[in-house]
Amino acid sequence: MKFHRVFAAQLLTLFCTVFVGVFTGVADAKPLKVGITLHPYYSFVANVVGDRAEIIPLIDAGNNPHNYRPQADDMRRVLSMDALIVNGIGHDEWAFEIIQAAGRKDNLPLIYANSGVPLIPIAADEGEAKVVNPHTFVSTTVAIQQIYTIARELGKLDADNAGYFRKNARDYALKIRRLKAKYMGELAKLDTSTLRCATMHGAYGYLMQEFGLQVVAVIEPRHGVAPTARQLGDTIDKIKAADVNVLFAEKYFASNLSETIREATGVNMYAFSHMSDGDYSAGLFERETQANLETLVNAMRSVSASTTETPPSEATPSTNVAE
Amino acid sequence: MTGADTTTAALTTALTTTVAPKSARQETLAVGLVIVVVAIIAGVAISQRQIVNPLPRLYDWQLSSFYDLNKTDQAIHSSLISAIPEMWILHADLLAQKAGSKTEDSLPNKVEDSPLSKVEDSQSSKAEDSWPDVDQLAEYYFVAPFAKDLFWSQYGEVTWARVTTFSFEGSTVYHGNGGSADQQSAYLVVLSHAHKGASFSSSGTIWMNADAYAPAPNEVVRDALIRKGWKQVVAYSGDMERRRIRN
Ligand SMILES: [Zn+2]
Repeated sequence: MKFHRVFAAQLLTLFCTVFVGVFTGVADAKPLKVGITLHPYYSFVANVVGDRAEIIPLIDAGNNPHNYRPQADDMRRVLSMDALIVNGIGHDEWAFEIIQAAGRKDNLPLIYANSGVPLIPIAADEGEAKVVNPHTFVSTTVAIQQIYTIARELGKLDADNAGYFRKNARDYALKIRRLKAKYMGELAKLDTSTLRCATMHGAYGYLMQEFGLQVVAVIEPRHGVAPTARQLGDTIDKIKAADVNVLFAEKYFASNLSETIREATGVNMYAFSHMSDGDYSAGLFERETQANLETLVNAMRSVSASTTETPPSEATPSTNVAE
Repeated sequence: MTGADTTTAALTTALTTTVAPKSARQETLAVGLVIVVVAIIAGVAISQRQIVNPLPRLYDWQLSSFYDLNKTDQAIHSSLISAIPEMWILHADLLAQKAGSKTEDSLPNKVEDSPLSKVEDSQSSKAEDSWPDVDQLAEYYFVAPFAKDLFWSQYGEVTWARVTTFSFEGSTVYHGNGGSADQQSAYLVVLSHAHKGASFSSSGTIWMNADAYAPAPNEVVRDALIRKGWKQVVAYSGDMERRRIRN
């Protein structure tokens, strides 16, 4: 009887040990499943986590984030996530609908990439209410700030890899800084004083701020909401009055609107990437940033051509400068 | 893209489907109704879009980065906020180098490439000296607003320096002045060592002085700064916007 009890106790101990061992072993080995809402956040996370986490885009690629309506698959995906990285300041409000619908409002850790980012208003007319610009991801410096925030917060969820995430974040940040520095160098050779630009949508406010360039007018301050005929007329007048010589439109959300404006005003039109198109990939952010900066240099070259003699396309090879 | 946009978009569809009424009277009614609805929704949309109650409430010795700064000061403020985490990281590197221990994530490149290694021998081991100087931030890490690039020239060519002429007892101070842009301020970044050892900190405060040539202060106690005409800039952060949108 006594023997049996001892044996049972030993068996129990052994069982517990094995069970706990297996359990924690599994927990350690299992990589985080990190959800993301927008394309640039995929790139940020991919560069921070390397192969030590799985990235799950909340919605399928190929959707326009400005008028997205949640799908059934999104619910399934959000259920499998350990954390979700969000813009959280107005560019992915649908994510909160999905979280709510999937019943994960109280148990899904959210990482707000913009928590420490100082927000700027969308360029507005005098007297108009200042509206927050949520496009912090179309930028370099402000992107780096978000990358650090993401790395820090992921490190809290996966303490074993915190140092690894931090190191990757720094390497990635330096890569982005080098990319920016290269185009800063290109722009320095040009006379930027004559540039007077307008943009479709407020998507490029942070980028232009980082390059010291002022946006004279924003033509479609609310994405997907076409201006009325009267607003369009006012805009055209504004562009003429402000002597705008370059209009930055959008590469993927091509709109008749920008074409109409170009015809009415004769401004040069260049297309920027809003970074919401194509497949999710680690390299997307750098690739699209490089394309945007190249576009910026080309636009600047066109306006400064009349004033300064600059050697044509001596640089800007399309290879990645940041080794 | 807040709820306001969706509402407006939905309204546009509503408008297009309200056409083709049976009689002229109905038509007038329908148009009248639509106008009322438009007015209401537009009102709602506008009130949702405005930052009704920016948090936190500011004192008169504070400035809102969102409302109170001109374009130049706003751009410099944004860049300084982003530079602060970099300063802390480099600070941690310098401390680690002095301690002779190289951690896994000490530097992005080989240590011998780093300008930081030059500092190692020449300075004392006081913690206050273990901070990157402006040239290191600018030339090696391309950190705005210190790097002498287009950003720097567009925003007034401010002269930046880490203040080493005074000992601030527990704070590290970077100062910028002499900018030539219209209505530009002088700038101060104060990093408090209360979080010493935190390699991933982003804490620091930014002050501005309406006098573009304001010299570096010799103490950074709040009241002393205020007396010299400095105002603390309070960022309108993503956190605040998130709380405004969703409580
Ligand atoms: Zn957008």
